[in-house]
Amino acid sequence: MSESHQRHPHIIATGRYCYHEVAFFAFGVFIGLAYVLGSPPSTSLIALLTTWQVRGWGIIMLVSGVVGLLGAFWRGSLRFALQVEGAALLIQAGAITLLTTALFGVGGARALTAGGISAAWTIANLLRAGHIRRFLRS
Amino acid sequence: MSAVNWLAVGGQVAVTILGAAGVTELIKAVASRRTRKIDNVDRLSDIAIEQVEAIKKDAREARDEARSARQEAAGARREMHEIRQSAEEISRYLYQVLSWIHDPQMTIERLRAVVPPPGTNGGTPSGAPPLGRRVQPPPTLW
Repeated sequence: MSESHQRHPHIIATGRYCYHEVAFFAFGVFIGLAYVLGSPPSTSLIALLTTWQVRGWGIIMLVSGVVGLLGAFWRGSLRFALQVEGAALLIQAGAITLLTTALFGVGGARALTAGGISAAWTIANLLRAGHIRRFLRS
Repeated sequence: MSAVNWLAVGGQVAVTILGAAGVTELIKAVASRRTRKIDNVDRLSDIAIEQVEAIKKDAREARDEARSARQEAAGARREMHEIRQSAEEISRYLYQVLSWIHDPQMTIERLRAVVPPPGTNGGTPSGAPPLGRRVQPPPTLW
């Protein structure tokens, strides 16, 4: 640990305390399951992707959600939990980026709210993943 | 290629890159977990060996100290035994001298004869017999 960390203890909350993150992981599991099981996808995704690509997107959301929840609620090593959580955040950030591009690509400025929320979700995921990565390297 | 198609390609590229990074992280986490367990076991083994060595050293020192303490205690017991014997002999001799003094038939000449002066007949300057030597009364007195 660096000298600045020793002087000012850097408290890292584990994933289980990041409620937004846990909620999005759970939503990822839900939406992933829905699309994998054949729920009608959103028009923006259909406009951008083929049906099997939408299914693939659903699988990615499902996997990232399950892995993320696993990392968030892992009771063993904190290092392993954070690594798993960071991996899930990256995977989910990729999937949400695709959703964001689909929303803005189809809706343009009209998709500002939905696209903005999904973009913020992506950015938050990437920032949290970077945070975890920096902590694990310190 | 239309803008929507470009966006689709961009989105898929982002999914691929970030997904690959995430999967890589996941694989690294699982792999490092396995090696970390081995490292931890090694570290614990090293710590255990160090502690065992330290305990052995402490036990050796404790054994040495106990041995020297036992030796000192045996010496002290021996000295105590000798001192007790000497005290008993001195007590007996003093009792004899007192008996001679209070004997009605005792004269100063006879007393001088039975109680040797200091430094003679095995006596000591204080008049006491040398340690370890039992003094018997003259048979003519009793």
